Amino acid sequence: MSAFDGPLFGAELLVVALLPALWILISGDIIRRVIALQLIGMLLAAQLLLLSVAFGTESFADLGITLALLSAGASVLYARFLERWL
Amino acid sequence: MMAREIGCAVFAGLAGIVALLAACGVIRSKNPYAALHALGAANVLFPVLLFIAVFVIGGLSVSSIKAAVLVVVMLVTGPFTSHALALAQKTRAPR
Repeated sequence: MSAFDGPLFGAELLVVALLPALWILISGDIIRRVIALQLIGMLLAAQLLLLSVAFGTESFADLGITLALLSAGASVLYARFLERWL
Repeated sequence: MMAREIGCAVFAGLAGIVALLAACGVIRSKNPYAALHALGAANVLFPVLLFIAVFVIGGLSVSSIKAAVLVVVMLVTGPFTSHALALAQKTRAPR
């Protein structure tokens, strides 16, 4: 086992990109918040995939795929809700 | 094996940089349409770089097949979400 775990380090690097997305969630207008939500969903799905490779647990990748699907659906639903009712 | 680890970390780091730049683009954009434009680049580059990272470390394996599925999901759903958000913005604040 090597001392440097590439996928785990890559997953940690992706956390850095979460910070500005969280800032947008806090301070942006409503459309930008949904954009940030989509970006965060992508980042978390990617982190789950990298963690599944790092730990050798295949179910984490399944969680990532599920999260990507649900996150996209949620963003579209939010957008339709904003278009029609808000 | 160390080269594979480093290669995976490099491509994952590049994907992170793409996402970081997209987030900065969304923060700095003047209107939501420009923010969607910034996100659009990340919608394509980010999954591709992620797949390359997983493929470098694992080769052709179950993990890379699942990574390919995730990439396809992100590439297909990204434009739908961008379109829905642009339509919502157009309806809420027509010019």
